[in-house]
Amino acid sequence: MFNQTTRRSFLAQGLTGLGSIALNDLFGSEFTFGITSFKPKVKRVIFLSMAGGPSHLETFDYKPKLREMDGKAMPESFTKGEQLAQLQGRALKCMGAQHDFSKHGESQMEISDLFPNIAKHADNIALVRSMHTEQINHDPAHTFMNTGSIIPGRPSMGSWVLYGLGSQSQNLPGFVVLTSTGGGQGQPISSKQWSNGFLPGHLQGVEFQSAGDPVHYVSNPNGIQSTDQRKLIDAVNKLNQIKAQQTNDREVATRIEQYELAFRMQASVPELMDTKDESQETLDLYGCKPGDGSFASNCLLARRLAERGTRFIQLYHRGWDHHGGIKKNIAKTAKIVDQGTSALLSDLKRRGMLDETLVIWGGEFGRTPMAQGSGRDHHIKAFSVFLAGGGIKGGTVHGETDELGYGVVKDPVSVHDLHATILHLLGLEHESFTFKAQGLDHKLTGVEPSKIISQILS
Amino acid sequence: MLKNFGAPSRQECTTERTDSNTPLQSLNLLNDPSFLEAARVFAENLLNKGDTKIIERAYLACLSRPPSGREMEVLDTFYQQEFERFSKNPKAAKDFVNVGASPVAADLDPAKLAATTSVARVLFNLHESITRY
Repeated sequence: MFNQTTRRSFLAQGLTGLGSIALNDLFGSEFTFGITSFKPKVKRVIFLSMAGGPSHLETFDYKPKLREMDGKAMPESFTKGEQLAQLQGRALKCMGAQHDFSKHGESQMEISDLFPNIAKHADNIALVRSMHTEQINHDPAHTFMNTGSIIPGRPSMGSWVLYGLGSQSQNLPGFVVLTSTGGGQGQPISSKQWSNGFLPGHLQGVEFQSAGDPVHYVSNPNGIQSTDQRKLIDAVNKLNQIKAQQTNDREVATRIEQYELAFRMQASVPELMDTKDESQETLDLYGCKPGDGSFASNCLLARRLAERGTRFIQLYHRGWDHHGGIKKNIAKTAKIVDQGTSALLSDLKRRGMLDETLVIWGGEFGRTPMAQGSGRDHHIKAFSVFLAGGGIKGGTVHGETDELGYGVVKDPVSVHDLHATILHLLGLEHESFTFKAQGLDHKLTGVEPSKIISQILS
Repeated sequence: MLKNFGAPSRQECTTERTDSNTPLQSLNLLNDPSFLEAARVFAENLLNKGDTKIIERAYLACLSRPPSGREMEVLDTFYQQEFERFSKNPKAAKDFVNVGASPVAADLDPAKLAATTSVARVLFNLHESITRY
């Protein structure tokens, strides 16, 4: 909030400020950036961030051999010299899957019995079993997943997408974040995960409340009509404009835009929150009461935001960090998430919106095949995510881990590959989608080569 | 309010806060009864110290500097509009200032108090007021 202009930040603002001025001239309500070299398959993204690191071994990656080896020493050939988190220096023992798996759909996709509802969508989702990441602790791993870098201050992918494509909504933020908890220890999520970084400030994610009203203070004060409020905002913006001309602080320009959006939100948010038009059948599908703070309620709100043009919606469910008691606890978390996820997919589909939406489900890393007491430790060598929606080839399983689920043995997918694929589906070419900051042409997919996961695309 | 303005949860330490500048902050400053009450009490204090140079004194109190000519012009016009509106509609003036736990100063002209409160709201919402330079 308090922006102390140091010499360094003044220089930074000078550089990026110029960029943002030029961009503001280009920005209409919707614009094309001129770097779309593919036909976009989807208009928006709903990212279901399973925060804490869901165990791939209990959810989407069944390993019979690991069950056979349950309780036996983990072969040293896997773990020698490897970076481990809390298990570093401990005796390493295998732990077989704590829940059973079944095959689903025409594709016979193997999915954990923890997800009876998600499993119904087997033929609609593309499952990637060969994700790997670079960061073994929650916050840096989230930062890497969101920004493509572990260095704080880089833009989140929602901001990148908004930068490239603009918002489809005049009246609601283009990048909205919601969080929920339940089923495990809720690791904190910092607001830097949806920061705009060096991109212009109006591209930052806006966190709505999950419980109660999603946005507070949308009503005018007593005795103040909308026209009166408009006049007050005009006065505020005129004075801010004078300041903007004097200081070259790009935050002032952002402030002016945010007051305009806030004014429009005073009308649009009550309409967004008014769930009277949702049928009982829909509410039963999600299994929630709107605004009850649950993951399912967030899924319903995500659909309503998607309908109203929000470009990037990110739901964090903080509850997958199962270091102990994984058998019981992952069942709790899975139960909370299963119905909402499935309802969202079904609801988007029946409204004809799934074809124009990309839904992604996944965490920041996986969990070890080795036991940590009755749980599993953080694991970066392999984890699973799934994608559904426009441009996605349903029923596909991509990539493979070794027989113990420790490392990837076929078709590895990096976080940057996932980013490249997301951008591709939105019609953005990741190699040329750059922003100049501090003398570098930054891109979401970083410096190392990355590739689109073409095998999961239709 | 703290969350809207980027205060971290207390679960982990934060060496540097993320810059945040969102419509939720605008809504908070515009419509939160705490800020409305603060604006009204600020207006009462200004008026209790005399009828002249209200905008100048408000600027000094909020921003530690006098307003420029252009800023004076914007706020003068705004004050006149608000004063006329509240003079014509005493109920709106009364509803507007009647916010919060602190008692409303009964001896002040309601339209004048309401219009001055509006000016205070403008000042409380300025980027310069809420940003440390």
